[in-house]
Amino acid sequence: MKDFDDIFKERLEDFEMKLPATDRNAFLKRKAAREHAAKRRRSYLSLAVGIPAAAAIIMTLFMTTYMFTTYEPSFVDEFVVAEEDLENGVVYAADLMPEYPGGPVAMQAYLAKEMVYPEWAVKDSIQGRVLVSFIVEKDGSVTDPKVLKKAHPLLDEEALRVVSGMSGWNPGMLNGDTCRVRMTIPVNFRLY
Amino acid sequence: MKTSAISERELADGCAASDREAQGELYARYAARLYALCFRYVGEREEAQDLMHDAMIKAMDSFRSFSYTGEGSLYAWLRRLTVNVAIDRLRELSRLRMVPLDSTVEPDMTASDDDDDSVSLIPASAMMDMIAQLPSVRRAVFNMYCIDGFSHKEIAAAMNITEKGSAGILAKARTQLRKSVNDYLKRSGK
Repeated sequence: MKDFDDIFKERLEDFEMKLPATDRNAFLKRKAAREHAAKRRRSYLSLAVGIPAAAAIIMTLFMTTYMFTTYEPSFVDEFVVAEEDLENGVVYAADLMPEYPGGPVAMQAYLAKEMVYPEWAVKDSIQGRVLVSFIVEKDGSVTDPKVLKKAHPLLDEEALRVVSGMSGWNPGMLNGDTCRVRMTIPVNFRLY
Repeated sequence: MKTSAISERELADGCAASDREAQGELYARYAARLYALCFRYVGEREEAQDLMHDAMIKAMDSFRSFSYTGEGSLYAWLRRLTVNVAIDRLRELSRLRMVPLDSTVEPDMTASDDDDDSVSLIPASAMMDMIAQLPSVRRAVFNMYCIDGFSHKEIAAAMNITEKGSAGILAKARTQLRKSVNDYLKRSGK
């Protein structure tokens, strides 16, 4: 009897079952949704406690947020976008990720060449780093550009413009076919 | 999935600090095994995948309560955590009905003596299917006792039954599995 149990145990306790290719994306989406819900719950809780102080703080935050948002992109921000993405067949981790012809160096060169530093940003010495998320389509074109981390409205706008103009990517591959992949790149605005 | 060569301890430290890369590595290393574990408990793929995700998220959130005690302790902790998640889910879904007390342990039915040798010829995936065919309570008890290393005392506490009840259910599970094994061997002409 012991042998019977042992054989099952030996064979199955480290057994690995093959997961579908989309599994990792599905997991990231679940994790993000969970974190998003937890954050919402936590923010409801803090509203319930000490409302007068909270109201003052919130108003100040709201006003500064309007001026310039500098929150770091969290797992959540990136993957709240994932909700729609996964429905439309967009993945985050392909077998072979999309590549700009010539690699990241060539991509940076293209952006630097095409980017027009906004006039008023120059005048006011506004610098910053904008994170732009976009989809590389199966034909290598760039669609659905979104600002994930803002720096300043003027810079954000220019970052979106210059990223939208990129095309000719080598598309991502999944299971031997081209696929739509969401990518994120930083666009740096530096004066000095 | 390609995994890096960082040590188990480093991986645990990284996850405790909620480091994204460490969490990714944790997933890459253990997802497939925990998926198989969940499949053993719930018997279907989608449910098992769901459960594995829940367990992974829970693990990543509660890493502070893990202490590294040597090679393999991380996997052991993940396994325990995942089994608990699986049992909770089974209870939730009311598939784990309250089992009537068995005051006597049923004797095991042994079919023949050379069974034990032939069992090793059966592929692991077939064994997984046999377990999946057990009714949910027997499946849970067999998994917990024979594969995941729980005692009858722990099983009784987790499933709200007596230790004797647990032993009785285990005996029934073994009987049914022996039968499945014999049927399989007969079908494949061994």
